Amino acid sequence: MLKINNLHVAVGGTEIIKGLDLEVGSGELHAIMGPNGSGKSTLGYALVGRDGYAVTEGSVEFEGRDLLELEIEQRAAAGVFLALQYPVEIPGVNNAYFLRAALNAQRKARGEDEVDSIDFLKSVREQLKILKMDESLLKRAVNEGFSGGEKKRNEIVQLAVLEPKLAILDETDSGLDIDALKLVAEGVNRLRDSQRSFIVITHYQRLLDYLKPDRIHVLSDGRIVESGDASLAERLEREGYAFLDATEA
Amino acid sequence: MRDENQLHAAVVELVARKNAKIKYSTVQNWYPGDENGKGGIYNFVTKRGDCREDNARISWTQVETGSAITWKYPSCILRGDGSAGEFYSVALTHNYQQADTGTKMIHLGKNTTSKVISKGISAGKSSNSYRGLVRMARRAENARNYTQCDSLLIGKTCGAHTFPYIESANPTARIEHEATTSRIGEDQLFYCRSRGLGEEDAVALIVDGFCKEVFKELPMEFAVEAKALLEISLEGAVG
Repeated sequence: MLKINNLHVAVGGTEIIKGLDLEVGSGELHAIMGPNGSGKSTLGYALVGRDGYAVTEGSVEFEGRDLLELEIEQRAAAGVFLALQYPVEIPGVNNAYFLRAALNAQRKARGEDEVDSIDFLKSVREQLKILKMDESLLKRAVNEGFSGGEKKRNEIVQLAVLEPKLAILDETDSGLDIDALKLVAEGVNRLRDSQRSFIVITHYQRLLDYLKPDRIHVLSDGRIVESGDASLAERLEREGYAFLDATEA
Repeated sequence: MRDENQLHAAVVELVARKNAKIKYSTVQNWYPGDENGKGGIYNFVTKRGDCREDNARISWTQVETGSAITWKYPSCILRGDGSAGEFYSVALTHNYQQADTGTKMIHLGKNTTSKVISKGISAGKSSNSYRGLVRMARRAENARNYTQCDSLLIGKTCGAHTFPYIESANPTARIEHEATTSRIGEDQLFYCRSRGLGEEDAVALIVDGFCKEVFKELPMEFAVEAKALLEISLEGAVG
């Protein structure tokens, strides 16, 4: 599904990702951990094509296509989704309207028909219920006046409605209390199937306890320095990232 | 082709008597001239409203997307006690357009109130000014005004200006003025695009949200029209 080969990404002229290789198969969930400033968020932004995140070397192949050639919105339509660490507020724009406009723009780009309004509302309401969010959020402006937890859950609602093939979650668990964390994890687990892959960026093992990732990677100074199964997260929780220096030395 | 300028000089006068309410809405898309600022209508308009008796209300709503130059200051003369004036405005300028628009709220009677919501959007090399007067006369006991002016800038070569004129001759009067100026956010654009919206659609969506407070004052057919007009007027404003 996703093949990243020797990826280098510079932000403002400074190289942040320094030769990263990663392969994610269909239906797999990979976790990316690593100390602050190691390039985790940069990886997410580079994959969706945010301006200012310049790929200077390497390739990214998504379902056999060159992902780097596509504009941001084309990547979205191709099925790549990034749940932001800090979701953005758009004053005056109704949350439900935003979501429907986004879904229809993607469908149009793929040559599909627009969604039926009633079907759309039904599916959004269902997702809100799963994430225990109040229906009034649909009528409020996008993320405006939402609590931190509501913003994060709203990202998962978008994820569920837009049904991407590859979802990247950038610290969706940070700032969530334990109940909200569980809801988010359940929301994600519900969306897992053999056709949908996840890259979950996180600092904490707690989320991974619920998600049971297929692979865990440790990012340090712009490279993946360690990969393993779930036991790697336990080791990180116990020992911190200090052992990275030890292995490098 | 149409490289000369034409003049539109309209005069509108409203009078509201006891307990009467008038709501006057305008959506304007006069020819703004070409992308180099050649041609276009000069839109110099006189509009005034007289709340002549007690508890009269006049509400102006305007959406200005066209004309090369707009000068327009719909006023409310709040003579009757307890009378109220409102002014809701969206002015969008692009290329070389100039808009200088606002309102005059003249409080003469007791317990008069006025509310001003102005949204200016500037793109291209245009200039967009809010110019408004709030005057509290000596006898305007307990008069109240609230003014909010927000400006949104698209690109690096446009200008937004706010000129509030505030005069108060009554110590019990209360006047509030809030103003903001912001550039259309890179983070908002990115967020919209990462969800699948094209860049122009994203800008239109953000601008529409920015104008929401004013659009909701328009009759429904006008609101639909106004939204479509903004989208057309913004074509080519980004990138």
